[in-house]
Amino acid sequence: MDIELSPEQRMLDDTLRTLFADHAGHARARERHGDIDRDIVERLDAGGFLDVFADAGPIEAVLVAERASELVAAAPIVARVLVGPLAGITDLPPLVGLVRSPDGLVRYAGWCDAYLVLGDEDASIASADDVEVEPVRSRAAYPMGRVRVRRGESLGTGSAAALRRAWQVGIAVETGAMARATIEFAAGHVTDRVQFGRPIGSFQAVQHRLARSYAMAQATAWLGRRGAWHRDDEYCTAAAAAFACMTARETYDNCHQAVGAIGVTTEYGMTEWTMRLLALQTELGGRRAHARRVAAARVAHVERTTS
Amino acid sequence: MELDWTADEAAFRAALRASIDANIRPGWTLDDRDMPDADDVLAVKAFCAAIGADGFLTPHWPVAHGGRDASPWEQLIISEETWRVGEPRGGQYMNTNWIGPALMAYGTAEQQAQHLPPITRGAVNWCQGFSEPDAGSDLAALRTRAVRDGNTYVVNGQKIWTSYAHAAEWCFLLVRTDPESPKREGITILLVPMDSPGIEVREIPNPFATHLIHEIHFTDVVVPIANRLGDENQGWGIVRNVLANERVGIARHAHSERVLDATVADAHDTGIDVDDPGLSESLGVAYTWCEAARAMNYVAVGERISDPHGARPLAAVSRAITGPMEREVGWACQEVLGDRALAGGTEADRQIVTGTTAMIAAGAYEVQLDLIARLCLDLPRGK
Repeated sequence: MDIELSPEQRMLDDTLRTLFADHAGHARARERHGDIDRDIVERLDAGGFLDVFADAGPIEAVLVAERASELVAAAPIVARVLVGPLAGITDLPPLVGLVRSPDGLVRYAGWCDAYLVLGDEDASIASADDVEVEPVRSRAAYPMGRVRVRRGESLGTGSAAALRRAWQVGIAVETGAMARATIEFAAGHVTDRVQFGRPIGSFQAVQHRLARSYAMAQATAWLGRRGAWHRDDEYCTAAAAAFACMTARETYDNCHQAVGAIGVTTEYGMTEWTMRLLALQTELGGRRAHARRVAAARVAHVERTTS
Repeated sequence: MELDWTADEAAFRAALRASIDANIRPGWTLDDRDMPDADDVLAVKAFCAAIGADGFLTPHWPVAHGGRDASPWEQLIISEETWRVGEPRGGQYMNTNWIGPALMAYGTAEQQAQHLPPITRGAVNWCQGFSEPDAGSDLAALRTRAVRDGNTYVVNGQKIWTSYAHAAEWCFLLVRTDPESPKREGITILLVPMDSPGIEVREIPNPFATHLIHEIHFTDVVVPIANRLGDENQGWGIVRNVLANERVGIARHAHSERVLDATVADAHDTGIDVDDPGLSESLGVAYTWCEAARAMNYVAVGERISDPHGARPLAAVSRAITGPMEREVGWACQEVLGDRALAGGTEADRQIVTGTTAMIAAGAYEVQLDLIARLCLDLPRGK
């Protein structure tokens, strides 16, 4: 066991931090509301970062996903860099959407080159030409829509379970990184904001809200990393997603409460994260569905070991 | 980053598990960890002696002190495997995790020669004399007084909430030696034989467990200066290090997961359908907390390896996840089993104790949140 990043991984992480700091961020995301940031995707593609899973491994792909998420890059990077490869799907175009068939809301619907479609029995891939997209107005900070698949190519036996597990990991990685960024953003505000003659962040009631969320965000991030590593184990991957949903809610509630009225404004920017968290915690059925999958995986284990 | 156990670590776990299975008293439960009966005290010593002889009690200690410099990961594996079966080391996990290392770092050669061999043989129980009636979360406010008298200290005062005090031969005691100094600067550590005249241990009655918590009263207890650990009035710095080690690597998740497994098995035996969506969801959430606690426990161990002398912010994060995990597991057991969870002697029943105390003992949950606010979020201090 070794939880330290290797020197090569640290170097990659530093490079990514610089790249996303220069070409992403909540202000840039706000400008592109309802749109997609092709520039950052092209830069990732040119730098070879979209295929880092195949070239380096799951942790490297997680690093790209984490950095993209914390700086709210306005593109479906996690699906392309992490979810598809974790599910064993290769040769993907740069922009990939994730569809829960038949009628789940899809992030970046209408903007993607291809869609990975999770059905009850199997998974498939459909090109943009093979789907119909109905845009849906939503407060979530992603362009949203429903995607009806006319033709898709089956990804084979076991592909549904593999895609579901990979998607669970994606939810956790994205949520963990975004939650931490939200909390750190809120922490900056409560440090500067003075009421009753002192920074509101010096009040324990405020500190504990943010600290509780921070602990959960850290755990989510590490569950995401573990899920990527143990991607064939649904106990790990579903637990990562279930905890991510709890973290998303906790972070949403506590950061908005700590920051107060300024937090709900577009200008302030915190909603670029919180409205994304809102969307993530509903995917694949949300906390309750993930939790039931965790239980199913473990109960099966208990039955095997006690019978 | 390598998130699998190495082949050597897996082999270590398998050999450890075999040693535990061979040496644990049949029917051992987490209730027995508090050593409510004299037989339990003997069982703890016998177990620790046996796994010590197999090389599994202090492998992470230096070779010079009877270990083999094993990694903190092996220390964690020991914790996972012992917690999994109800921690048959009783309170001796403290000996190996932090009392021994504190003696190695700050003890005299004589103190090391006296105390370390019995620990490696599993032959001694210690308790920690930290909290007082007016010094709980604010530990540095402690008032138990030690006054120099020639080559001895005379100790008067009271400790409280002490685990294992009734079974301990020695107490790792924090005392105030300089009441005039700022409160963190006048604290000293004494190693006190629990059979010293003037020491009285009183069990604190509670509805949870026998010999769960105790008071220790000190009345004119004479302690030789040779029993002081480190310099006079320098105890706080040692304690901070001690607490950092105490906070890392206690694998409660391994036990909690087993409690849930036992609850599932109990539900099966009694015809409760754990596939019911509501019950499945409760179980799934609780298992999820176990996984979160496991992940952060590993991260805290990694932090200890990479920054052994740092402030250990992730250790506080780990504890802020582990405490709620214990409660979530407790409530899930009750939701699944209903009133069966209240029947004495079941894993679900025992979890009521653990779920209640885990967020209070050894540094309250709120103290961990304070640490996270300061160390991770750099939030301003309150007035």
